[in-house]
Order: sequence, then C-alpha cells, then structure tokens
Amino acid sequence: MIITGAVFGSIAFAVQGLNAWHNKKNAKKLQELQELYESEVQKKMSALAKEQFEKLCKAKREIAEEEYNAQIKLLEDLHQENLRSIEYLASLDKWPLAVMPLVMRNDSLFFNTQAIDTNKNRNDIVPISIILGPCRDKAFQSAIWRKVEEQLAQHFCSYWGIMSSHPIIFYQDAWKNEMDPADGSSFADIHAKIKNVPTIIISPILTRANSLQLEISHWCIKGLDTEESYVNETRISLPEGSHVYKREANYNDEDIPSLVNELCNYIESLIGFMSDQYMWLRYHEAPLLPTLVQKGVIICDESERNNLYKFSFDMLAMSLNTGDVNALTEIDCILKYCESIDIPLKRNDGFLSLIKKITLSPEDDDINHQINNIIDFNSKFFLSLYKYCNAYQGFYDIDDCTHVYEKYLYMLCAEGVETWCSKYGENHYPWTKAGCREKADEIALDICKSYISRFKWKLKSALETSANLYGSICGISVKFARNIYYNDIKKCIEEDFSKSKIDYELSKYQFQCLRKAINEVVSRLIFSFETEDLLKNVLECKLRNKYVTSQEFSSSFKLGVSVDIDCETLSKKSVGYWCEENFFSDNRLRSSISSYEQNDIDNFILTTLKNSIASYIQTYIGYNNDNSPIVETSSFDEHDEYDPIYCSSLYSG
Amino acid sequence: MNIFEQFGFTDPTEAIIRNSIGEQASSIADNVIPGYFAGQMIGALVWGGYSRNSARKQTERSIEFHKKMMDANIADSEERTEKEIEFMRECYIHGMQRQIEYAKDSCEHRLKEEEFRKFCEGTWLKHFRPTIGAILEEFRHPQIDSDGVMKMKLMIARTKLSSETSGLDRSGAYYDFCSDLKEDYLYNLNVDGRWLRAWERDCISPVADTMNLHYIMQGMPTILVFPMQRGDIFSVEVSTWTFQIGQSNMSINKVFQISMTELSGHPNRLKDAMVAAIVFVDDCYRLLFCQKQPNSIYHAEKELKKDSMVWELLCHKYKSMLDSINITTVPNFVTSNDLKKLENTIII
Repeated sequence: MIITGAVFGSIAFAVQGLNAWHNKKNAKKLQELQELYESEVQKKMSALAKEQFEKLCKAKREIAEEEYNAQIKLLEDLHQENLRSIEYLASLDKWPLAVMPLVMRNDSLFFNTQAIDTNKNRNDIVPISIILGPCRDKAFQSAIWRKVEEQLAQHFCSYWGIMSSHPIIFYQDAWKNEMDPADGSSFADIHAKIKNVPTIIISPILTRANSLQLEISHWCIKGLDTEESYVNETRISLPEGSHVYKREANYNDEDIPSLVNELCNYIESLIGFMSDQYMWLRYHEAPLLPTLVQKGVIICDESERNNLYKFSFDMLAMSLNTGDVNALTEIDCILKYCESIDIPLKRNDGFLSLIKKITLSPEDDDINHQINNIIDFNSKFFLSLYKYCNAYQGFYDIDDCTHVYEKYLYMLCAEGVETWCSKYGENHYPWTKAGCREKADEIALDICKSYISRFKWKLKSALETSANLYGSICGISVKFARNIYYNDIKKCIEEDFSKSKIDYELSKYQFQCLRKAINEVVSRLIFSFETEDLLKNVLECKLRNKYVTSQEFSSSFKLGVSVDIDCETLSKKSVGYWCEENFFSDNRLRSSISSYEQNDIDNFILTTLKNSIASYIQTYIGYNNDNSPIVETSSFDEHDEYDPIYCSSLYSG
Repeated sequence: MNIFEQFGFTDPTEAIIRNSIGEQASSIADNVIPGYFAGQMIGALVWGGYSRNSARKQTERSIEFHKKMMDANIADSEERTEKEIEFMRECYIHGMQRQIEYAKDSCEHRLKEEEFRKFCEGTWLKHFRPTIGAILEEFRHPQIDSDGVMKMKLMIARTKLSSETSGLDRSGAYYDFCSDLKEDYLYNLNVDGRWLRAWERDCISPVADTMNLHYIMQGMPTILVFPMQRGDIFSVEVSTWTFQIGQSNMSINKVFQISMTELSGHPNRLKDAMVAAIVFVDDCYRLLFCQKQPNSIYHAEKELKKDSMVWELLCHKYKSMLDSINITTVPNFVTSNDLKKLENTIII
C-alpha cells in the first residue's frame, strides 16, 4: 500500500511537473506572440504618423502654392482694375453731360440708396433717363431741335413726370457742348458708365440724302440684362408724309410750330411706347400711351392706332408666353393692361383672347397654392368681367365674355390640374398614374366648391349694387359647376369600368356603376351652395304660387309638423330637373339603360334628395311657433330658368 | 508513531474503519485511494491542457481585438488628418475670398471716392456755394418751425433773369436779387433761406443742377426755383423733394409759364411768380407730406394779390391740387374747416 502510494505520488509529481513545464512553454509562446504584436503595432503607428505628417506637409505646400498663385492673380486683377479706374476717371473729363455718372446712378456715398431701393415701394421704381443729343446742322438745331426739346420737356413734366406711374427724367439742356457730336462713340461712353440705368439717347441726323433720321441707343428697356438689352445706334426715319428736312435750310417762323409738333408727337410716342414696355416688363404697370392717344395728347391716325394696339397686345402675349408675367398671380395687372389698351383704342380683342393664354404653371409644384391662385383668379376675373362689361358697354360683349370664360375656365381647372397631376403626382404625392385623373377631378371639384363658397360674400356685396349682376354671376357659377359634376359622374363610371373585370352582364354592371356614381356625387354635392340655391329658388316659387299642401309634406317626411309645402311634388320636380340637367343631358348615357332602370335611378335620387330637402327646409326656411312656414320676401324672378312648369315638363314620373 | 499511539491509543481512523467496516472494507479503501489519486492526476493533465489552450485562445482573441481597435484608430486618425487638411484648405479659401472681396471693395471705394472728388471739384464747387460738409451737418440739426414742420431749404438759381445787370457784375446782381426777394417776401414764409444764393455761376440746365443738388441733399426737404427764359416764354421751373431718398421721389415741374411780353412793364412779376411757386410747393409739402395746415399762402396773400395775373395762376394751381385730394384721405390734422378756409382764400 505504501508502495502504491509512493508510485501514485511520484506519478502525481511528474504530472505536476509536466503541467508546469507546459505552462511555462505556453506562457513563453504567448509572451512572444504579445511582443510580436506590440512591435508590429509600434511599427505600424510610426509608419502612419510619418505618412500623415507627409500628407499634412504636402497639403500645406499645395496651399501655400495656391495662395501664392491667387495672390499673384489678385495683384494682376487689381492692377487691371486700377488701370480701368485711371481710364474711367480720365474719361470723366470728356463726359458729354452736365450731370456726372455717379449722380445719374444715384451712387451716393452718404445714403444707402441700394438698401432703400430693395423695399417694395415707390423707391423701387427706377425712372428712365432720356437724353437728347444736339444736331450738327446749326439751323435745324437752333430753329427746331431746341424747341422740340422744350416742348418734350413740358409734355414729360405733365404726363410722364418722375412722380407719375411711368416716371421719366428728361435731361433737358444737359448736353454740355453743342459742338460735341452725339454719335456712337458718345453713346458707348454713356452706356459704359451708366449701364444699369435705363436710358434712351436720341440724336437727330440730317443725312446727305436730305432726310432727317433719329439715331437711337437704349439699354435696360427690354430687360434687366445690361448687355442683352443694349440696342446701339439704331437709325429710324420719320414716317411717310412727314416734312422733308434739308441741310442748312431756312425755316419760316410760321412753319416752325407745325414742324416742332410733328417731331414732338413722333418722338413722344416712340419714347412713350418704350416707357410702357419698360414699366410693364419690369413693374407690371399698365400702358399709359393709349390713354394719351385717346385724350388727344398724342395724335395718331387709324393705322397708327391699329399698330399701337397690335404692338401693345403682342407685348402682353409675349410676356405671358415667356412667363415674365404670371397670369394667375398677377391677374389684376393683366386686367388693368387690357383695360388700358382696349378702352382707349376702342378694341376688345385683348380681353377676350386673354383667357386663352392662361394656363397653370407647370413649374409650381404646390397644388394648394395652385388651387388658391385659380380661385383668386376666378373671383377677380368674374368681378372684373362684369365691371368692365357694365362700365364699358360696347367694348366688351357680355355673352362673348361669358362663353369664352366658361370654356376656358373649365379647361383651366379640370384639364390643367389633370396635366399637373400627371406631371407631379408620382413625384410628390402617392398617386398612381391612373389615380391622377381621379385626383384631377376631385381637385377640380374642390376648386369649384371653394370658388362658389368664397364667391358667396362677393355675390352678397354685388347684390347690393346690382341685382342684374347677381343673377348673371349666379347663372354662370351654376353652369360652371354643372359641367364639373357631369364630367365627374362620367369619369367615375369610366374608372369603375377600367378597374374591374367584367363578371356581370354589361348593362347590369353599368346600371350598378351609375347608381354608385350618383350616390357618390349626390352625397358629395348635396349640401353645396348651388344645391341649396336651386332648392331655395324652387321652394320660394312654390310658396309664392301656393302649390304646396301641408298634409302631403307632413305625410311624406313624417316630421310631425303642419306646413304649407308640397315637398313630394317639389322633390320630384327638383329631382327631375337635376336628373335631366346633370345626369342625362348626354343621350348616350340615357339610351344605354332601360326605362325600368331609369325609374329605379330616379327613385334612388329621389330618396337621396328627400332627406336633404327635409333637413334643408328645417335649416333654411324655418318654422314659426304656430308651425306655419315663414315666407320670406323673395326677389325671385318668375321668368328665371328654374321655372316649375319647365321642371314638371322634364319629369313625367 | 502517530500522536494517538504516543498517548497509548490506536489510530482512530484506522480503528474506526476497522471497527466499522472490518477487513473487507479495508481492502476497498486500499483500492479507492489510489483511484482517487489517479483521477486527480488525469484531471490535472486534462484541465492543465485545457487551461493552456484557453489562455492561448484568450490571448489570440485579445490580440485580434486590439488589432481591430488599432485599425479603427488608424482609420480615425486618417480621417482626422483628412479633416485637418480640409479645414486648412477651407480656411485658406475663405481667407482668400475675403482678401479678394476686401481688395475689390477697396478698389471700388477708391474709384468712387475719386469720382466723388471729381464731382466735388469739377461740378459742385464750380457751380454751387454751399459746401457739402455744411449740408451734411444740417442733416443733424434741421430747422423746425412752430408747427413742428422741418422747413424746406429754398434755393434760387442764378439764371439770366435772376442776375440781370447792365454792367458786368452778374454775381453782384444775383446777390441783390436774392437779398431783395428775401427782404420783400421770404421773412414771412416758413422756408429756410440760408442757401438762397446757392449758385456760383449761371445755370444752363435746371435738370442737371437739380440732379446734382439732389444727389447730395436728398432726404432734406428742398425747393429749387429756376427763373428761366426759353425763347419768348418766361418759365418758373421748380424742383422739389422731401424726406424720401431716391430719384423716384423728386419732382421737376414747370409751375408757371408766362409770355415774356407779359413780364415787361411789371417789374415785380418775375419775383411774384417765383414766390407764388414757392408758396404753392411749400403748402403742398405741409399738407400732403407733413399733414399740417397749409399756411404759406396766407403769409404771402397780401403781396401776391397785388399782381392779379400771378394770383389767378396760383389760384388755379391750388384748385387743381384741392380737386386731386380725396377728402377722406386728408390727414386728421387738417380739418375740413382748414380746407374751407383755403378754398375761400383762393377765390379769384
């Protein structure tokens, strides 16, 4: 036993020893591994630090190099600038005008005019500077041109003053030296120094061919770009039939006034048109020249008036086409423009053609903004239309305007929104392509409804001034709304057809779709202003003609009150009217369903409308304590389009 | 001999074992104890090997982890260096941009200053008497009348008519003309006439002189009066501006135009017409801009009524001004009685 113990003890000792040896070996190996790793880390970190330092050095070297190059370039630029400054200052000695360029630019060192000019007020308007250069022909200069200048100065003070809507600063007598010719070189010098100031320079030239020509340079009139808008040395001759000027001619005192008038008239109309163009393109100010023509300040014959009208109208069309003027947001300006050219020149093409050019802006991706714009446009346009038609009878025919308006307004709302949806729908809203059409309809409908509700208060105020206006506007709004409803129904049906697989018999399915569509549309529109208005009119008519009986009303609607209204008949007639007007005016739709189904639909609509009429009567007509109806004094016209006889003839069921 | 045997006892363990389990049990104990030790040895071998293995794995894992950490540190460090370089570049670009802007602004300002120097030397000092410094000082201390209205600065241009003389001293004639005008009319009016004689030489172009004066004096209510002869027409041309700055807030008007033949034989008509124009402009300023009662006409009424033609022209001007005023937009300070009084005064 002792031996066994000794043996096991020895073995245990050996095993312990073996373990210790292995442990030692293992620890050594791990230490080596650790040291290897540490040394690798050290090497790597050193290499990295070195690399990063090199990178920093390289970047600093590059920056220093770039800085040096930039400094050199800056020095060169400054040198160039200094040279230009020296040239600029030296050339001021030869400046042909008595007003220095810094004064014309109003480049004040004491007042921050730039900051003030950014405000949206009168300071924003930069007047056009007009400069007349002298003529080389002394006789013409002293006898005619100075008087032309004086007369023009008077006209500009009176009609185109700095405080007017079309401000002009006319630099009378500002050409320092009459011996200093006003030619292309002077024009270029003036342009170089006041290139941001809208300027027109006119200089008379008597040519060898014995004709008077006006050399014109102008800039910043047709646009803000100083180079693109620069028109240099354009020569124009006087119109045919004008006086033929000769060099060094002697002018009779008797002829001088007529010659001066002729030249003044021509130059003023020329400058006037340019001023109109400038003010319209830059500040959206309506033209003034046609008004002056109408007042006889500027004399024009018929062909010149036609030309003026054409140019003015083209200018409006161009600004609408190029997008310089947004028809929807700046409708007030456009209407003023139309008024300012149509009335004085006795034409109406501008106003009627205007709506055709109005489209939704495809660049504006905010649909709510678009809708608001359209609604604002409609409201303003409606009132303006009738204001103009009433105020300027003979120029604007109300029927023509209404026709154009209805056609294009619907196009504007429905088609415009649809186009817009198909363009922006997928990008901005979770609408599929197929859903875009539906969305367009919904939006068009919303526009219509908002438009009508917004227009309510305007109608009210309009009613106070003109009952006729009220009737006309109401009629148009109703017509416009119906177009939308009708298309809405048709499109709903088409949508249903296209979406579903046809598992049913076609006519049956169509019938069901029609019911569904009608239900949808009627429930959506039943409380709209137009419906209330329609029903109210019919009700009032009924009350007046005493066609209604309380008993029938009571039994029909089970309201438990006794009133003197035949609501059953009324409902039927209203429904008949509605069916005919809204749902069945297209024969194709009516002929596609059987008479049985027609009756079913009529009854369906009748049921839907019944409840609405009942609640409407309760809400809007009201009852007295003795349960007799309150009969309001009505301005309803017996010959209005909602004639009950007409209604009953429409509906035989 | 163990401790039990030293004291005369038997070994309790053995005794107990022997006593409890007997001989058979003793042979079992002989087998168990070596087995126990054998198990211990095998255990020491196995677990020793296992612990070494674990230590190795632990170390490798630790190295691996540190390697990853190091890689991450290296990536961070590289990124930091890149950012540092980027920042250096940004600093440089901004610095350079500012330097360029500063240099260009400085250049532009220098050009403007030089241009302004030319304007001062070539235009202002040659044509006008008030110094620009005095005008700028005046902005700080404006003259206010008893109604709290800032007085308009009045300047009479030197033209052929205002410096007419038989001799050569046109400057003296202009001085006398302005002095007489001040003495005869202007003491009663609420206009500031300190720069009345503002011209150094004859005015050739009223528009040009207006623009030059407006350039410095814009924002300070001013009336410039140019008595001009244009052919056979005598024209009182008036330029005016008020507190607003900018060219679109000034006005240049030919207020009265009278045939030169109407002027001859009426020595005071020239001055009367000029004063009438001043009175009209000052009242427009008081009524439309300062929202105060117009009163200049009452101060000059007596003098101006002596010349019926000028008075008639002035009354027409006032009437057209009153016609253009919408009574509802007239400021609260002016009552309808004030306007009635004015209407009653301008009866021809």
